[in-house]
Amino acid sequence: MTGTAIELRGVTKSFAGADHPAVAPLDLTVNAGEITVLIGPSGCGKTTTLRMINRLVNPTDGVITIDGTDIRQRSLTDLRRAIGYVIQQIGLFPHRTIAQNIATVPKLLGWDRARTNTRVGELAELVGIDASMLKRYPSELSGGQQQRVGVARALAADPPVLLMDEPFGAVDPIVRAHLQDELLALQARVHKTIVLVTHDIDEAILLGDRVVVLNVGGILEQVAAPDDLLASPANGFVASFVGNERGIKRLSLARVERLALDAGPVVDRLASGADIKAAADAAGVDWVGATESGRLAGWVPVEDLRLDAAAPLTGTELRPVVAQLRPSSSLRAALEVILTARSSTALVADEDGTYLGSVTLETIRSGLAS
Amino acid sequence: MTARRKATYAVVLVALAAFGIWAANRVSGLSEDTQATNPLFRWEYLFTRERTPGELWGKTRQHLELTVVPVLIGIVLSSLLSALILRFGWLRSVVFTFAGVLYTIPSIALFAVLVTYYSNETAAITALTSYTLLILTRNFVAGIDAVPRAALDAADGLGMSRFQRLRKVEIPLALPVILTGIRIATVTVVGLVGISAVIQLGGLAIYIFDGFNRDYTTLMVLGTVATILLAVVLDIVLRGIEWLATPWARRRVAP
Repeated sequence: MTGTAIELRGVTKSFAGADHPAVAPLDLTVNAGEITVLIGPSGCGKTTTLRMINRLVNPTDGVITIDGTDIRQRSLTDLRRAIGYVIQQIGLFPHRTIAQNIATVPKLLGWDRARTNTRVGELAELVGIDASMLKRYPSELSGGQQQRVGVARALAADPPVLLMDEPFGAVDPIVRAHLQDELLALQARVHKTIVLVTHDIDEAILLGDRVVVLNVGGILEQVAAPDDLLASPANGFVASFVGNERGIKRLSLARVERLALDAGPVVDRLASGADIKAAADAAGVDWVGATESGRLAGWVPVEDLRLDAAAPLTGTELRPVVAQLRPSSSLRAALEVILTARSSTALVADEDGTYLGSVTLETIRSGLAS
Repeated sequence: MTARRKATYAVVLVALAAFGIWAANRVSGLSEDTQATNPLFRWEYLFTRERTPGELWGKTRQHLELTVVPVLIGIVLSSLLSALILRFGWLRSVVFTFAGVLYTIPSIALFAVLVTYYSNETAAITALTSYTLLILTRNFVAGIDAVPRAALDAADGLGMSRFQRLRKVEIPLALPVILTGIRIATVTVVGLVGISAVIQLGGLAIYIFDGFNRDYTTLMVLGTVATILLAVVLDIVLRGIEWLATPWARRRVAP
């Protein structure tokens, strides 16, 4: 099942005794099947906003719809059973085994034992929990394993919507990085509509299809894809919140495939001496790469070649290309290759080895500028 | 063995040793004649006197009844009080103050007052029940209070109703504290039952009072030892129930 869109229209939350509303009138569309990240400083109402979606907090005013239906039209328990919920403190039930924890919502929904057990097995596999752990109690698992179980429990009844409140806040940085990668891999398989709250801008940029930046009092500052957020912050608040290293962060985020690649100092192995010289000169390097039926075969310094021969590259032994990138490589990886390569040019080839073009510092710079 | 358990054993051993020294002193201080007619414990009383087993069983049964019935009534009342406290927060201090006052009334006075209005059994059971309320209600509420917030948040977020949350999450997680309260209340009542001897009840403690009145140490020792045994047996049984009811609390393998 794929996700479902969520709409917030004029949603407000005022807590009794507070001078200012915790969430100012907020309009927000959460796209189906995407990860939408809510981020902002403490007091920005990001958690309150999240908790209004499953009515753990009731809005003072405004309407929230899921798949076009007002959430107040369903009973509280029905609504929540149809929405996955993951929290920072994980909140596994310590008196129930891992299997029983995962089976919480199926049991509330009255699934029979066989169906529940099958589903628990599927989920354990999906989140990477070994079947031998299912009979254990939460206290016997590490923090990272517990949070995987928390995610499995949230997904148990295959809800179209998943709410995650700082899901990786309580685990150490190494485990957090693992869990973040796992969440992305998981999302690639399940395509849920995920709303995730974090205070970590790097996490927001890594995980979000869209990032919603909130200011104190639940004021919406910007909604944008991570790269757009980094490239063009809407205002000073967003810029300062996103931090100083916006360019560097974008390097981690953007991939080589989005660049307009140069032709590069690469020729077919049967090319003439004049073509080789022209290609190397055009790229400003002292070497040339060779392809055989479109596939990158290797490189050789121009000075090693007899340019007056008919096809200088045919009789030459080619060296393997080290400075090589894939379309899926991050720009950060591209930069690393360029900085450590023989010359400031890296070659890009796809999985099959088909040559696609070259990347230089200038390619990256103009790619980020566009 | 935990440090706490070690300390408990140490206290019990010291108490037993002190009792032994006191008893030995008392016996050695008596004339040989008295030692012969009124020794610390006359084993014949237990093993050759034909009426003893029947009397002992009858008093044990009465003692058990006067313990179990008040504790059971106390559990029912305390559950209701706890439910009210959890539902209406302001009741908390009212209930605890009231139960605290009940707990402070000297038991002997309470028996005396109640017996002027009710039958002996009713008076004893009412008084003994009143002493369980503070212990039980406080433990019930403390147990529920101690349930991790995150577990409650998860229970709500996953779509449990208020009653499902109480039944599936709060009560099971509070169970260790609840059962500890029941155990402490039970052992306390075993001791307090003795006071009801002033209104012709008293269970096994009747032996102690009889022995005292007749200066017959055998009865005093019998009553004391039997009461202690009853308390210890009930303690062990209730600890066993705690152990069986909370398998999750004792499984902690480092991951």
